Amino acid sequence: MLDVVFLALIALGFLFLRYFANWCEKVISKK
Amino acid sequence: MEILQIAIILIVFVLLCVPIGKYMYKVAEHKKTFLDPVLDKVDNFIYKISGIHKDEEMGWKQYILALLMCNAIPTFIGYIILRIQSISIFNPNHIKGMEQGLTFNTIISFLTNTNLQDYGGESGVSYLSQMTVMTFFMFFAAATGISVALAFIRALAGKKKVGNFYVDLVRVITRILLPFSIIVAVFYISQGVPQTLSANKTVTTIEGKLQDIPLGPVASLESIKLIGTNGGGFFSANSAHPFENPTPLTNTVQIITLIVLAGSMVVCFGHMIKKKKQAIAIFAAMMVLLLAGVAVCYSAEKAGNPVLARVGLSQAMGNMEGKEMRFGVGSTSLFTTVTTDTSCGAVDTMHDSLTPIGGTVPLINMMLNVIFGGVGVGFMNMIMYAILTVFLCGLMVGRTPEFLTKKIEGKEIKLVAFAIIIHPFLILMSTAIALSTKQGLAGISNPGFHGLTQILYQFTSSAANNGSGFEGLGDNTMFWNTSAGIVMFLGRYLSIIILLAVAGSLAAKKSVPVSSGTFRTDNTVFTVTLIVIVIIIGALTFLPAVALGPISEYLTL
Repeated sequence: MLDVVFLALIALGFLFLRYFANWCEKVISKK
Repeated sequence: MEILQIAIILIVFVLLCVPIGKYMYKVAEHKKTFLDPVLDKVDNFIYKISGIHKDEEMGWKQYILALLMCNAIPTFIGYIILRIQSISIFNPNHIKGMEQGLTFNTIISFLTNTNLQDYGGESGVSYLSQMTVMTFFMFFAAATGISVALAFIRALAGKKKVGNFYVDLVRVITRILLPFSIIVAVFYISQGVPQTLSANKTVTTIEGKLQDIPLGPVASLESIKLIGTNGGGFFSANSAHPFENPTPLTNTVQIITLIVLAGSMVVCFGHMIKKKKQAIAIFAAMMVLLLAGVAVCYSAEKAGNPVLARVGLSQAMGNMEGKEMRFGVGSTSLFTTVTTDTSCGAVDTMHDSLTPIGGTVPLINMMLNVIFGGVGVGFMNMIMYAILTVFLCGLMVGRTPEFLTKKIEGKEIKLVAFAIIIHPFLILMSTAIALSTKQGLAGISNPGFHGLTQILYQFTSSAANNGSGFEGLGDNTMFWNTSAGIVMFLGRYLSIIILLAVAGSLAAKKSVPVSSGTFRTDNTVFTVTLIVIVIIIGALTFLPAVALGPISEYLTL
């Protein structure tokens, strides 16, 4: 069970970074 | 004599940075090198079996997404290997599978180039894990850091396409990390570092007792441990262990190898943007901060422990608690400073046993996180401060801020400010949480000011992806494994993404011609201003915490 929790945490971490990159792109594309 | 030893090591380091930096530039820009006839074939074979289109160039965002994907997959595989390492493959010492929380901490630690170790290398990991997880990630994480720095520099040089992540990763490993690691590993073997797959030896000591002598493939891990600024030891005592670092000569080589690629990165930057003076200005700022750290650490350790002096113990050799006799105070102080200037984190002394002021130096080095730093990423952090310096100076003198002929606007500064705030936020918030919870306080082995420093050091080391530890902290618990794991993960990737985005934004802008109104960033004035800005920002964010920890401890001695 704990394995699932930690693996999910890692997956969520990478998913969050993907959205974070999108946010950064949005910030720099503002005129 | 000790000062002369420190000076010689640092001069050798600076001299080596010039040819290695130029070689890194050739690798980065696909120029001809003497290894091409062999390595072109190896690289092409890797591209072919991996389906990599080597001519496909990426924008900054595409580069980041490739990096994230490429980092995520081995993380899951590594997690599984650590959990099932009890199988009888390369496991002659019958090591059991790692516990879940510790596995999470360990895999994030090695993925992020931190190498914080909450396990004991001798008893906690099999040879299979040492080779396929620890050593693999030491190459992989270091190559990721260098690759992203190369992309960052290409963007600063004005290229909208910043390269191909997969090609950079392969070339950095095959042309930089592997050749250097092989040479240094062979040297370590010649000095007595073990390189074997046979089981630990049980011997009878002269007292007639039985003792296990741990062995393993140490030399191959040891070389990349330092070259890649990784820092995770094969044994618990890290580079203080005689099998990892047996002689003063290996200690000297370890100091040089752990900082040389980080220093060479700055030289490579100068070649890539074709502005050597700019690289010299950045290198000088880093070097001044490094020398200041060495001077403070060495003088504090050389002065010894006043408490021991008062009870009549001679402190003529300095503070030798936790230090190896074969290295002495001089070499150890340099190692301690340099390993925390870079994000290496290997230790040849126990940092928990440093004097309060001596221990403040590694702590502040990691808090600033810009003095050479981890291969690639530390350099990017310094450029982030350079951008901030240009902006602040521009505001003060009424000039439009420009860096490398690109105008700095509010959107870049917004992201830079965010990147600067993340680091102290991760450290101070996590420390505050640990200090206000039972689980956090349970790790402290030395209550009082030193206990606060133990916690502060743990999170500073994690956020800076350094990995060295105040080993008195009892950190192999679910609380510490999970919290430090999360801090390491965010500390690594958030700043990488932000800085590549800033560089991507600058790359998309038109160059502004240099005029008499341009604020120069390649002279002594800029270097001094940059140093002052780094110190002011560091002091504003961290001074209260440092005052409560090591400074208070010093005042109570």
